[in-house]
Amino acid sequence: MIQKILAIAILGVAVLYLGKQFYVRFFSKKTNCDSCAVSQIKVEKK
Amino acid sequence: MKIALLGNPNTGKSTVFNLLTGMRQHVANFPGVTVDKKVGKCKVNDQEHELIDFPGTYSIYPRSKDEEVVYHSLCDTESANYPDAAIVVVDASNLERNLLFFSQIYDLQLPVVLVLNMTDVAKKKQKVCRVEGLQKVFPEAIIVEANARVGIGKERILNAISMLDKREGHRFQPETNVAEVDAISRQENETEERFKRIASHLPSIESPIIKKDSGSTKLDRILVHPVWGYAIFAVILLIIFQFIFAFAAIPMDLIDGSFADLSDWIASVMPEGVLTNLITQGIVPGIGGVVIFIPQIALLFFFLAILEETGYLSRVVFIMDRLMRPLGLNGKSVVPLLSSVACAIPGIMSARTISDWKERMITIMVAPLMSCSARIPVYTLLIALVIPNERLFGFMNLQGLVLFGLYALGTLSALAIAIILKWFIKTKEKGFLMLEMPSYKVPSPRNIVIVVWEKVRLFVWDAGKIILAISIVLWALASYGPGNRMQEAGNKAHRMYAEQGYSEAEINQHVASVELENSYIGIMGKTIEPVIKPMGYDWKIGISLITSFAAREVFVGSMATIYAVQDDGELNRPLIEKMRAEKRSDGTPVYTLAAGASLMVFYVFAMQCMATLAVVKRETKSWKWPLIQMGYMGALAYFAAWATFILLS
Repeated sequence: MIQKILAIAILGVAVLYLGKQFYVRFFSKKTNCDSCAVSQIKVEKK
Repeated sequence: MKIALLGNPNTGKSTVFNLLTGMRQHVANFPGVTVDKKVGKCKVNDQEHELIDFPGTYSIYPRSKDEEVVYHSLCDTESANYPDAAIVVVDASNLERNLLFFSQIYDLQLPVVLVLNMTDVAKKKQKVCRVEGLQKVFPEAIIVEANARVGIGKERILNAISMLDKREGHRFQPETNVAEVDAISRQENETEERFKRIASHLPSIESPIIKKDSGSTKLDRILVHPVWGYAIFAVILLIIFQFIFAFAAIPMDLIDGSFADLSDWIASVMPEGVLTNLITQGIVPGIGGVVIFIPQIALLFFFLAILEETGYLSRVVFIMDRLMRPLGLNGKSVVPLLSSVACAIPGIMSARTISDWKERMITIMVAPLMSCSARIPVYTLLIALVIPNERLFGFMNLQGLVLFGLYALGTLSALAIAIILKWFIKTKEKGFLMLEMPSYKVPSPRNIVIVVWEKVRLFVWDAGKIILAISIVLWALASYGPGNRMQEAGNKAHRMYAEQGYSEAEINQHVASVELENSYIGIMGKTIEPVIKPMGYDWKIGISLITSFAAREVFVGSMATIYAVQDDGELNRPLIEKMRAEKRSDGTPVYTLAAGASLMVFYVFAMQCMATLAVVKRETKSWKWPLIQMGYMGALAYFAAWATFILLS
């Protein structure tokens, strides 16, 4: 029984980790992206 | 205090950054390595300062995206990155060119430290920099000499930081305010004036240049020769791949055997159960699939680091530029494409140095075709599986030659696709590569160790976590099936093989195999099998192709997990032996030369990397480009793999 619970817990962590990686890479807005290649950086002239 | 670390490309900024912060930012002696700012901390007299390593630029006036980062941060006082002070690293052996940018920073009125770096190179060139003379021209700058590459000058720079104070208003070129010059024509005039003024001060700040043929110049006559240059580069690559196969075999066998023994040992000490199966069939083979390739990854980066440290890689950039320009490609595409040999992500990011949007897009679109280090585990496993370990002409290892061929195929296809893309994406601007050849140096063992350690750490840690997680999920999908399907199929197979008089061990093997086919993963694999069959693959390869979309190297971990579940702990064999013994239902081997070569070709072309797609999406700010990239690379991979299988069958 303990083996089953631990195995399910490990499996759950693995699935959550993969899901988090997918979300962070493709959808999260918290990425360091202040100098993207295509985005136009607006420079305000003094 | 927020301190900006600035300078021309290739002056050793990142080395100074590492020296002051103790970090291990990647350094190289060609431009485009740092394309985004990096932040670190350095302590001076118990006071912590924020050090920002900016991309190298020749002038404050931007011509590309990476240079815009510098301009935006320094000329906009409202910017979050606007620094309180600046450290400008200049190449002491090339003051005239370096002082242009320094004088612009000096005129921004920021408290500034001028680091005269690479003093050893200046001495070799018999150049003497007169610090007193320089101090007279820039009286409000704190000037220190350093040789950051060998760790000299850290204390001097830290001491200079502690002395930084408010400026009194002296300007090098008082007529203009660099932060306000926005029109390109005005920027050009201002730069010209500045150069003239620097030239007039040069006699007082450095000794006259004694021009003579240095050793580097003599060596360059051969290494960048229009014919010999390419031949030597090809030979060097060939030797590297030969070494990778020759030296990595022993530690790989050791690691492979150790993980098989570890699984066996865990199974013997732990009570039977789900967790034991998960560890012995999922986790241990998954980790083993990562660790086994450490020797090859380490060797590849060891040789690349030597080439980079000696200054040879800059010559490669130069000769590749010469090769690419007649094909109509942007000279600045060379660095992103060469960086992609290590990993496509920094390669794609270094495309920011390309000012023209369309040229940049073409470079981003073809960069993942260059064979990255993540392909090494897949290539080496498949080469060891289907290519005989024979010698050609008595000295050349056939396996190493095939590895070289796969790298060459990736490079040539990247160039070919770039040419094709140029027909569809018309560009207005012809970019050029500005490259300064560093003199040849004896590689620093410390830097080489750092590069190898960092790359191996990243491979094991970053890729390892994903491989491990996928192995665990795969194990679950391979160990369970819908309802009683697995059990019923297993019982049926047991009866059938028992009636045919097979031994107990053989029956267990067949039963495990039949159960695997009826598991969730087996059902999924069998569903996609018709699509991949024309390329010569079975459903197990199909499953690994899907999982390795996360990262190419996941292929090996997935195969290890699938075969571990299939073996059901009956036979303690390394993965390669299990794959070699794999048979189709008609008794023919799965991994023939045709199927193996087809799989290698598939991995040369396929966009099997979630992280790369994510970076392309981030860099292009659109889903369109990563989807187009995945589509064209997938189609190319499918048809090339199919054609290879047909040709070799």
